[in-house]
Amino acid sequence: MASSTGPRAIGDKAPPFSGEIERTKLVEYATALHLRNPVHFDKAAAVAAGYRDVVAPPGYINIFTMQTRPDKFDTFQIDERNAVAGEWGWQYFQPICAGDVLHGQSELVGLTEKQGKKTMIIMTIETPFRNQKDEVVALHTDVTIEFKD
Amino acid sequence: MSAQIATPPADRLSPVISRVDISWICVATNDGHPLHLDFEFATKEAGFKDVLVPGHMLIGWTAEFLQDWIGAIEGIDRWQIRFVTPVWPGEQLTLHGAALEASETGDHAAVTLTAQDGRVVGKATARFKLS
Repeated sequence: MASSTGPRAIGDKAPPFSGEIERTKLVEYATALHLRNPVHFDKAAAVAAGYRDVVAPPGYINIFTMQTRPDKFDTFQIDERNAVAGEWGWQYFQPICAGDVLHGQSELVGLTEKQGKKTMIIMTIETPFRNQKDEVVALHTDVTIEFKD
Repeated sequence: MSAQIATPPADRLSPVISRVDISWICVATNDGHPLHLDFEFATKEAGFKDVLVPGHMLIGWTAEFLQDWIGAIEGIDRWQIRFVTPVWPGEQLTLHGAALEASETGDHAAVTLTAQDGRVVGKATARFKLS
């Protein structure tokens, strides 16, 4: 975990998290986006397609799926009001379905500074999602840019 | 390698982004940030002209486009999206796909999201599992 007094550094880790992928959330997500593929919101269709339950769309899981906002912003000492999401990315090893119990821990893996009109601090945070066999099923990458005067 | 990549889907229009759908996506993704939900905060405190559309809407539609392109969720190895400029309620985005040939990163596909006034608001790339 990050020191509460020292500067952030590569290797800083948020507290470990664990939780269940909830069908209700997946249905809400598919509804908000008007997704058309029923494997994302209809369990019968998902099972008919060979899945355990409704499938999380690629892009559903992210650093906030099983963590609170302070888990990110406090751990990595980010001033949320002066920060923006630069880029998000995913790598998938197995489909994620409702009912899956996953765990992981976010880690700061990149830290660079760029000089523009303002100083930009570019942080790359990786969040692996592991299943109960401790296999990584997906890896989420969050590039956050913080601006400093 | 590029010869194996399917032709991208035709350009696709997103739904018109409603404030109700913004509320739902915030609930679905545990994102209660006032920049997405509180007009007074977004305009008076943060200085924007309206609330900001959550990046999750761009993510969700791009993911669906990529899925349709390669045929299944399992066909996507990795993908990433860059948020270029804010999107506002009431806007509608056009998704355009292009196959990448011999990209240095090994990515096979690019998707550009453009607002109706011509602003490019998001850029995504993806690597497919081709075997």
